[in-house]
Amino acid sequence: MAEFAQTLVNGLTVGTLYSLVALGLTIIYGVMNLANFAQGEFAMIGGFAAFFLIQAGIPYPLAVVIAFAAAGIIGLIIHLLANYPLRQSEPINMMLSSLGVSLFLVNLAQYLFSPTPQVVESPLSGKSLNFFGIFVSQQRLLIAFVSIVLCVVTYLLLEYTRFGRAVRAASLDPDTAVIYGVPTKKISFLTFVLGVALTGVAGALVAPVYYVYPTMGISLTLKAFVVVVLGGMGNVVGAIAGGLVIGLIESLAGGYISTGFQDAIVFAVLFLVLVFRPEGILTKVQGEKV
Amino acid sequence: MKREFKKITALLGTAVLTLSLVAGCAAPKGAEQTSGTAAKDSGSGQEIKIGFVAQLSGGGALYGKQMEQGAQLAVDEINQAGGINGKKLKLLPQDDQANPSESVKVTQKLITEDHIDAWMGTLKSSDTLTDLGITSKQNIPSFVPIAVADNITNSGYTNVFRNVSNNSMQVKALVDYILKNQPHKRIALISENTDYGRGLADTFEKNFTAGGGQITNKEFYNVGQKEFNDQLTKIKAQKPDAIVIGGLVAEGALIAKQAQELGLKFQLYSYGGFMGSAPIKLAGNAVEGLIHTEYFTPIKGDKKIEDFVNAYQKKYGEIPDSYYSAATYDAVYLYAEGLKKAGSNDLQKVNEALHTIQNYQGVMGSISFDEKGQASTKVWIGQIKDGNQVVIYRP
Amino acid sequence: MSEALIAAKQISVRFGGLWAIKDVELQVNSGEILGIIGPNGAGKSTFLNVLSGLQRPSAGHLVIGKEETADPKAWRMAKLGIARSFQTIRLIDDMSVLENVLIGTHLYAVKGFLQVVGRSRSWHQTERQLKEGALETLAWLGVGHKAELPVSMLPLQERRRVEIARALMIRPRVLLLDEPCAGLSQQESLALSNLMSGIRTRGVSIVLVEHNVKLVMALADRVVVLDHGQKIAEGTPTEVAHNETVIQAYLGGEVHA
Repeated sequence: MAEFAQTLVNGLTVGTLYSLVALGLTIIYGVMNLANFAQGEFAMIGGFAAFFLIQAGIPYPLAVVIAFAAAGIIGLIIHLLANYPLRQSEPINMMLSSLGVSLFLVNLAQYLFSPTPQVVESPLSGKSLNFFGIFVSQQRLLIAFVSIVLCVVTYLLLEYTRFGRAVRAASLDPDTAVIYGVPTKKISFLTFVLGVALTGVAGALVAPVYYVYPTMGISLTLKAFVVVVLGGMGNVVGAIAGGLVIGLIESLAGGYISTGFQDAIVFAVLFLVLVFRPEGILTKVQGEKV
Repeated sequence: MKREFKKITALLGTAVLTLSLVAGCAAPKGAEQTSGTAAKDSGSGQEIKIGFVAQLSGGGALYGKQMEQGAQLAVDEINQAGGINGKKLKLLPQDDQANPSESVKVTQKLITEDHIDAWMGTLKSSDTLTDLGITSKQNIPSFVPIAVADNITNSGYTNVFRNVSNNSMQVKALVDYILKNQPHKRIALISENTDYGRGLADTFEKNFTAGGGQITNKEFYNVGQKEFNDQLTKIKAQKPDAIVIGGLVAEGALIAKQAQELGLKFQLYSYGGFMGSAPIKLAGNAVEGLIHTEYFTPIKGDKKIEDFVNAYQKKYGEIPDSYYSAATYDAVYLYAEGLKKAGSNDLQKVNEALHTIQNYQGVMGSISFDEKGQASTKVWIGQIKDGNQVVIYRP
Repeated sequence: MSEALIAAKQISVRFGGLWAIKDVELQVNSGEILGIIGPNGAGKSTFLNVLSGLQRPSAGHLVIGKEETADPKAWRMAKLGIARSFQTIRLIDDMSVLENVLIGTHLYAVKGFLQVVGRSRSWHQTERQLKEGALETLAWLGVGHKAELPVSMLPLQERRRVEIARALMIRPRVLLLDEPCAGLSQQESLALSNLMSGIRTRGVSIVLVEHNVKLVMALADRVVVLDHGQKIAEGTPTEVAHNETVIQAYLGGEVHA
């Protein structure tokens, strides 16, 4: 019983992290039609930002906030250099461009910071809480907490503010939105910056758990894509719920089937979703768009 | 529009699946090729060229670099002392990015373009095996200082020399040590999902159960994985006496940290892949008390080791803290020994001469090659105590 | 004649080798309802797309107020006070009626990022005003009671009204309506045409592209007839109805005044 509870806790805490990264990915996809393969690299940027800030004596919570800004600023530059010039061309071109951005950022980080993993200490590093034999690391609780808060805030922002309404309008029907005065270009720019900045926070949050190194973002990107495909491309609630689902599938598969086949099982689920429900599990089947 | 949407999603899904395979197999490519020293002056005949292949960029570059530095140090020392048979040695390093096809490509290049006299590499057993297939066709003396899969010296090659214990020897040494010196009878295994990790787990299970021990778990993880809570939760439920980690530093350090966070207080054991100063740096007090097999530790009191450590530190500003640099250092000296005995750099003569080497004293101990090219080196047992590496058992 | 809000000068649109519109010249005056009629494929919708910035003209230009442009952009047109509806309704199904209508208010939002994040007083105030305005417009168009429902649950004629409400939210000077009565019953069409008169009395000019010639003739102040991409007639409904060329175009007297 304790083992089962522990497995659930493990899955949910990792799942919140997936949700956060997938959230950024899915809003970018929704508004820009861009499958951003460089998403995880912004976690790496956030992680390194946290690493250097802490080295410089900045307290961890502040470092996380600055990591958000750092990822956002680099996202802004990337948007101007790699996305904006391609705004008129086929979506696949921008996707390929993001693949290039990913390789570029990884290699640049390897050149600047060396491939060696770096340790980031947070005030919670190495501490755990023990609830009747179920252990949860405090840093992971923090990750879960901040991820949930950011997901909820982003959801509220999209659902109940003018900016959010514009984002949703631009995402669901950009042509109409523009006719009614929604500045879709500005909206896609803001969405991209917000989307990658959220992932930057994720990077700063996981840094004390996983270390920081140039290739740390690659597996996150993959997981986020699985989540987004599962939840429905561009679907915000789908991304948040999908993250938790993937986290749980992973830990249950590892706990009760085989740890050697954990990833295989996750990808098998992805495969089944693609075959039987390519629009995502949580997406309503939408009416025809023009 | 909807059809379009499905198409895009399907395309994406396929891309993700493909990428995940790529990411699973290979560390991402590095920024730069470290080939600055690979000059193209073939045919001079005045240099004896050692082709060196290892990962010099990307995730494992840390170890590849140490390998290169150890070998380069030996080459420089030998050249300073006047070279061998009137000729100087030259190391030609190539980056294989820990990628099998890249490894074959650079090995091929070393043979056809640079006309190397000897070959040395790599970090990964699987890459080493495919490369050896090529060097063996040309009968080029090939040194395997790092890769420890058993089948490297069981493939019938007469030009392959390994101056490090193989996996079985390593596992046997650890099992013997535990059975003889430790009270742990129920042990959980967590290993990487590769030939290396699976080989370690299977051999350990066989030897340990034969010796009366019990294996509670055999868990696996993928290289590059960062989450081990699921494996550790399963292990915790079985309440073993100890855990043996069969993997490398990057994952091993996280396993140790996450075990600590999950409240696991079992003795940790590991092998040559997870030792040295890196675990201490990465995992801090989570690896305190870790007992591991090892081939080399920069200990005081052994003249040969002290000289090597001092020279290395002087040249590179760091202490060689694991076998990656020591093994390549020894390998170059072993090649020099072979050249001396053969009196020329004729490939066949050198191969024959190397097989006759008896009790060569290297920094990793006394080395003699058997008919398969496997050295009969001893395995040490080390421990991390108060944040330092100490040797606790030296047969 | 009163002041021209939009003047189209020699507008032509070519698709491949085909002229969808050729040298069309017309103007939209303040406070009028201008009907555009013509047989299928006459280029009515294409022309409306040009006016709303969705179709770049191959030749010619538009004069909107003081601005002259040969390449009108959709976002710019919204700012210049030109709104439109579509023949196939373009509402966002995943949003409520109210939210759909609020999209039209984007231009009047509080722009300062800090004000939005800080939910300042002025942000609250405009947000409330815009929402009240939207509800008022919906109520006036007879769909106020459905404001919170998802748009997809409304019947066609109400969706048309929601789309018109959204267009009105950008406070247009000219409203372009593309076949607003398509698919509606006679009764529903009549109700909608009453509504159009109402909109006109509020000072918004309407350009009405409509299949139902009878309805246009009854409603419009002026009528322009397009055929094969060219303007073949222009004038009051009575004038147009008696124009020989027009009668020819409609193949023998389908045009009844």
